[in-house]
Amino acid sequence: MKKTNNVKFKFRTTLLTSISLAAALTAAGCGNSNNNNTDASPSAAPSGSAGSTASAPASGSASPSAGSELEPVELTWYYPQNAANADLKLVNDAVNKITKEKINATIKLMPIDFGTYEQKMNTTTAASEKIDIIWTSNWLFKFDTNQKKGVFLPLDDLLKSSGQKLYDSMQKKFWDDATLDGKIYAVPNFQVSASRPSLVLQKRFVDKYNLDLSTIKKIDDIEPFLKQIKDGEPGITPFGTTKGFYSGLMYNIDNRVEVYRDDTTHTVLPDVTDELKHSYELAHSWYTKGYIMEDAATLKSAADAYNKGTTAVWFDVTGKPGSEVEFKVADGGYDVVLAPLAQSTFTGAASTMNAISRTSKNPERAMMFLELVNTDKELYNTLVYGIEGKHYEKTTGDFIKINQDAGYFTNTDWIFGNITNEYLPEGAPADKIEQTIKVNDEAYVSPYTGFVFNSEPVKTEIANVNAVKEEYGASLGTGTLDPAKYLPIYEEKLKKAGVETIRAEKQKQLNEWLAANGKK
Amino acid sequence: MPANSMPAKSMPAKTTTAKSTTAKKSSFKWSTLIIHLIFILITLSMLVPLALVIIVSLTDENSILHHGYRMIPDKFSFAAYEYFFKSPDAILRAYGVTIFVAVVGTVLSLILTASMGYTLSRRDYGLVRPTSFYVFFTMLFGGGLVPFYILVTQYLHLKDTIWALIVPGMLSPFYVLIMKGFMSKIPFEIIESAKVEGAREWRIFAQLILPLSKPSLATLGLFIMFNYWNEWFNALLFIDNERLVPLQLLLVRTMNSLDFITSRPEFALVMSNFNLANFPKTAAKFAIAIMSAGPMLLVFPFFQRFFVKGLTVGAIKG
Repeated sequence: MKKTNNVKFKFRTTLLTSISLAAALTAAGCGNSNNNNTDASPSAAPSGSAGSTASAPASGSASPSAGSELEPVELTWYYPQNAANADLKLVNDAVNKITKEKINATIKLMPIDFGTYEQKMNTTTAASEKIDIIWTSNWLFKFDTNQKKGVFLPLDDLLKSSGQKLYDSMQKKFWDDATLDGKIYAVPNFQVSASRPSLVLQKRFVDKYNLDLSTIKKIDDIEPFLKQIKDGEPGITPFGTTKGFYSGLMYNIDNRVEVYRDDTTHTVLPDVTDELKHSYELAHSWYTKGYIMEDAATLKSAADAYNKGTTAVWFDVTGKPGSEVEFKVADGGYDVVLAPLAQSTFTGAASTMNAISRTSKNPERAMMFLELVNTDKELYNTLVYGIEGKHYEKTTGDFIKINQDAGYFTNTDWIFGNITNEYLPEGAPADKIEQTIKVNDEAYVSPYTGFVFNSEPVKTEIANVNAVKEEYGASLGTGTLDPAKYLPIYEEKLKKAGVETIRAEKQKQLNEWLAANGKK
Repeated sequence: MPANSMPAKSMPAKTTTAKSTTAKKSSFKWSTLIIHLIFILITLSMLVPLALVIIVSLTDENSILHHGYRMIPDKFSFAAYEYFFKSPDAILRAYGVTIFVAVVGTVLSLILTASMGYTLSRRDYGLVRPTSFYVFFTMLFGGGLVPFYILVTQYLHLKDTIWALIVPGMLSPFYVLIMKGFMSKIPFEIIESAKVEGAREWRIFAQLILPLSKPSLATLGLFIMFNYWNEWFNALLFIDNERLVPLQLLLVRTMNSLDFITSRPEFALVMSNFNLANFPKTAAKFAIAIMSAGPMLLVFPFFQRFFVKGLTVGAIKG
């Protein structure tokens, strides 16, 4: 006891000094790492821009064709995938063979699982890791938030110097979706970019009850059919929903900002529109009549409910043409038909894009590569389907037969680039590509394209409003709560949460935008 | 007196025991029965869910969808396991990686933890308090994910190597403190006597302290092994090479992706060929649980007897 005391005493001074030493060391350590960080980021940025200015002339002179005049570089490309592919390396080699020949670059493919993509990319980009191309979108590894963080490089100059062909391959409305703060930050992957709110109906019931789809003009028209199902099909839920079935698109409300399409005053609508009220009332009447499943408001995943094939009708906001085949698999294998409730609307290309990383050492080569992916049929199909003869067989024309178990199967043509370059898998409609182009061309384009609401000034209000919506939205939307009684409460709570402030801010920003763009 | 008193005392006792034993016996019986029942219930409450997990993993997906989870399903199916073992290379290699990491990591980690704990437990070691403070300090403050990532990838250059799975988990300050707590209970005199006999520090550590610390080594060893076994996050961050993916990451990825795909109907639709209807989604989740936990369930009982002795963080030990 005494001994330890002595020891204690003896080393009290040492303890003090060592603590202060440790503190000093950690402080120094922090300082160091801070320095490193701050050093790293600016140095990465200038090196990128230095690289672009340095080799811009080179690529300019070489751009006519010969890739061999360019010095060899290696690029990395991160993108999400469903599962690992055993033959990734083989495909990567095949890809490199093409790129080596055309732009004297090799590419390292870095597929990441969808489920972990966000987390992995957040870490790697935060650590300023050297990456060349990053896949981004408005739903996974979000484009706008990451652009704000400075993850992506502006592409306007690069598109001019090494990607003119790529730029010309798409209409301006696609590029508009990749534009933030007046600059293009990503290359959209051309695919179906239109949305058309529709009812999805099981064909077996439509046939049985002789439903004439042409009579379904708005969602209310389906009610008699729901009654038939309720009365005649025990065990079948007439109408399936989890969050309700309201979409402004059905009521002539613009998809970019809540304004009636033909409204020349450009008045931003309140959160609870008359149409939404109507939708709630309709939902409640259906709910009380037993057309909607009882647990609709608390169901976690709509897909789980539809999967069983026990839901006769449900509402789908995208309802893209030709998606009946795809709905079939999500509906327990039963055939479905679509009853569109509105004209299709161009919803933007931001759902799948490839951007060039700020940390890229060779941004113009990355751009050349992206151009190649989007314009070179052979390269694109190698990425999507693998190696001919091994992972797929050519049949007639552009049709191919995919061997799913051969070691390379992506099923994500929309990740890599322009899908109009793809071979068609067996069973796809022969006019799939023409259809896609047609749908995109015919879709209604919002006059407010380009307007992006900056939510920063009303951040708190938005959080509060979202909390209220979380509380009431699903219950009202599915009709579980009686709107006559709860809608006033809901509106009152929304008001308290600051919904008016948000609307006013939106209106203000919209007016500024309209003025700046000469639309008002 | 005692000889006398014995029968004298036992005489009346007998009469009472005749009565009381019957009473006692019955009451005894009741209490044991209740205690047994309680323990049977506790055991069942642990075993039944496990059994259910196993059964669900073997149930046909349609049967789950239509009837929910059942102890006796109307249709068994190995589809979930077939899905994982469709390409056995990947999963077997993942098992290999995990076992390697768990074994090598546990051994290295135990050596480190024991030597550090031992150093801290020696009260004649001058820098005990600053060192303890240093260890303790790391429990309070961490650098965060990004600095950790930068450290491992840019300074240690461990990216895409198996060491990225082993090195970061090698020393846990908490385990060091547990180890220290255990080792400071070893009488200091043992060390002194060993010194008198002429043993040097390494010898004392290896031949006296380590054998005496077996309970805590076994306990911590099990904990560390669990940690290594369950480790997937480091692998997610640092491993791109498919050959180095450990089991847990493989399963986490499968499950996340399944959740991801199925929770977004719009996404499932984009993937036109993904056959959602036939995929044993629920069963697969349960199969994942069985596959990842299975081997550890078998290991656990062998360590169990060390637990009581091995786990004492400071304080007084009975």
